[in-house]
Amino acid sequence: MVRIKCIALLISLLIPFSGLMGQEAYKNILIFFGDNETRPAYGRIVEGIKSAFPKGSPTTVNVILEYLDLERFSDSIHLHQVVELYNKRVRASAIDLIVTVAPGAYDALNEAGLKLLHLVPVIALEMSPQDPERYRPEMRVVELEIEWSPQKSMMHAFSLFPGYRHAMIIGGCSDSDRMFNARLLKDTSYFKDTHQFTLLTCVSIDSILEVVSRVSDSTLIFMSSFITDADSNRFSSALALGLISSESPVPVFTMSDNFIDYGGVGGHIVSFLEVGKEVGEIARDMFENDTSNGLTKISKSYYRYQYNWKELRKWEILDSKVIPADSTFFYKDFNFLTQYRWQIIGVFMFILMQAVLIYFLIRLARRQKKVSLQKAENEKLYRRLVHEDRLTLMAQLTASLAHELNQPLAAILFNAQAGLRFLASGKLDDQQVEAILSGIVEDDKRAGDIISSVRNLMKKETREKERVDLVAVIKETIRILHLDMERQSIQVIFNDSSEPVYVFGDRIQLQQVFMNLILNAAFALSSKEDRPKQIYIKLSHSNSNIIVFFEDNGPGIDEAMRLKLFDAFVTTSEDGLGIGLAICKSIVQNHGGKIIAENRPEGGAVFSITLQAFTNGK
Amino acid sequence: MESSAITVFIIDDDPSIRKSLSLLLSSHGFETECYSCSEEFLSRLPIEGIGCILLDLQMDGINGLELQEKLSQHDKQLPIIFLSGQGNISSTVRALRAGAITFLEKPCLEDDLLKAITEALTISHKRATEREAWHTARQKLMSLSPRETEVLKLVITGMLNKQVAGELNIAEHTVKLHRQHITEKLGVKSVAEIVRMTQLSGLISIT
Repeated sequence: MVRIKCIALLISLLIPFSGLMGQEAYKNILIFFGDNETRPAYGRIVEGIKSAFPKGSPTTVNVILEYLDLERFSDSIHLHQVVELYNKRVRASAIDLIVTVAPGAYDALNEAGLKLLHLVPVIALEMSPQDPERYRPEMRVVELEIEWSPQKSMMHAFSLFPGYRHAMIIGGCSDSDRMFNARLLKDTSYFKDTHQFTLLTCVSIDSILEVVSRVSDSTLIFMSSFITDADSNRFSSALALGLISSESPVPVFTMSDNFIDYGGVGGHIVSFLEVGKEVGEIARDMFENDTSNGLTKISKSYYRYQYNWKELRKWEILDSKVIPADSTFFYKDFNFLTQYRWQIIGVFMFILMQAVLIYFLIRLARRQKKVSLQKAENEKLYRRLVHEDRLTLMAQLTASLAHELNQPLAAILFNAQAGLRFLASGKLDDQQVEAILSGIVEDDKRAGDIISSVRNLMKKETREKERVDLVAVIKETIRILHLDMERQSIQVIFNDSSEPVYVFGDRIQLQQVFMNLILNAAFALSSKEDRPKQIYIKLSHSNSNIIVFFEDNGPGIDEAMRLKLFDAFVTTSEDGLGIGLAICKSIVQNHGGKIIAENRPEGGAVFSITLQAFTNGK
Repeated sequence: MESSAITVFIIDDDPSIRKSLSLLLSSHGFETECYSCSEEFLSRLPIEGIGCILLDLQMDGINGLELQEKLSQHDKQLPIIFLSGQGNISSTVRALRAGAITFLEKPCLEDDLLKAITEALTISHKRATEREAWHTARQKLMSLSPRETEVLKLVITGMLNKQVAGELNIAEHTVKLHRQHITEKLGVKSVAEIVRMTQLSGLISIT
């Protein structure tokens, strides 16, 4: 059956040759293993070799695996059949590299007379020093000796479990088992003062499992090679390890990475994956630079820190300080949360931050909406107050305004009656008609102006700001208040410059401010006994600013009152709501200006309003 | 007296009122003079003849009521008609108490205005007549000699010639002569007339 398999293998490897022989970059590597495919180390080595030729690299390799199974077929018949097959059927040019893998592959093939060994470059993997005489001078050989020091693995295992003072060495009964057992046993001498060793080699598997299941807590198990037990039952080391580690209440350590898959803890062990990679590197170097020549001996350590992550977790030594940070962990990826902990935390944090951000954005949006609603509400309230204030002002002025309107009405009536009289007496001449009618027209206009300025003040709607002549606004304000001031025997003196002075604003609101300030001054003057009662309005302007002063020769502002003068509902007058000056301040500020109340050194108050001058650019 | 001008003085700070009022009054045949403020009018004083004042209540400077007060100190006072757009009770009362003819509110009816002006002018005329009579009485009484004045003072008390002669230690005949001179100088016929003239002049107190 084995023979059939070998032939099948050969055929399978011959097929790709036919079509691809011509391509130089296509290389065949023939690997001879001393044992059979159940040795996990072999798989690692092949994996390592292949990894040296990744897809897209200039050389593509075809790996042919040949298992000599020397231990099982100790009669060498299988070996000779294989060698004969290759000697007869396979031309040297079909193989670019031979790799022989311990234990015993090179020597066996050499003895069996494999011709290819002399024709094709060879990489011989060994685990102990070899006699250089076994190579013939014409051979192109790279001998790679892999360091095998079980004490390194044991030392690390003990440091992982510092409290464990016992160790048990378990191994099989075959020749290679015995060889590995001996190597382990030899290295126990390093720990003879600190640890107590029990040897469990070449015993039946049942006995081993029995012992293992009852082993004391502070014991570490070191697994050697295990091909056969004392009853000559064949195992693979992997199978044996699986059985033992599942039975064991204590950690099981192996000497190389090939057992990690089967229940070993790992540790400071030989990485056959790395060995395979090294072989692959050497092979690639040979292929690409044609450097193979004579004998090259390499002795190298492939000890690496590698762990079965699940085992570390099981024995609760994940956080052990003796595990180097750059160690390799296997099976860690099974735990998604742990494997990608930082990524997950990162993603989670990102999502969280996004969520928080979104939350705050939503809140911000809501608040802005609320604020804008509030603002609109305030705006409405403000407009209402401004309007309210104007209505209050108008109410104060009703009598004066009625009189103001009576003047032109009376004049119109007088004119008309004069006209009738002249008409009746037949003495009406053209000149008189002209005088009468022009008088009526003039007075009618005047009455209309009064009504429209009153109506403007009463209007509620907001107006667009525009270019406003302050001089005109002041004059109109004085005109509206004229009779009221006369009634109170107050002189309003405006050093009127005929030059217009422009600001950008709401004419009616500015008029309202001036009206408030004049009436405020008049109120202050009402308590004054002596004459004259005077209000001076003065304008001063520079290029950028216009200041309007409202001065009176009244008693001045009480210092305690002065500071809160512009607060709402502060008043000494019984008529007003006390919002007048507060409104003034709001309106002035709304126009980008400021209003200040002071006392004059010569007595009386002065209110000054500073506004920005209107220039064409603005 | 009838020949001297009748003038209506308009004092108002509103030019269109002045103009229209003046036009209306001239249509009724009145002479008018317009003043824009009290000060201007005061500088125009004294005013002879018959007339009246149409006075605005509220004006810059000296206002209507103040002007009324100032004018009352002058002897040849013209009657005042107040004309206001904004009369209130207190100022109306004050004005009337101080002797104003009436208090008209603008805009006022032509009839009311003319009625007030007529009344004012009547008063003005009466005052002018009285003033004339007083003036005449004074002049006449001043023309008497000291002795005649002494006689007059006793005569108006109701004394007979004999009693006067006894009082002054002069002859009754002399008293008779003085009385004749007095009636000639004063241009009166009876003692009653002498008494009235003396009262009018206010120069001699009658006890």
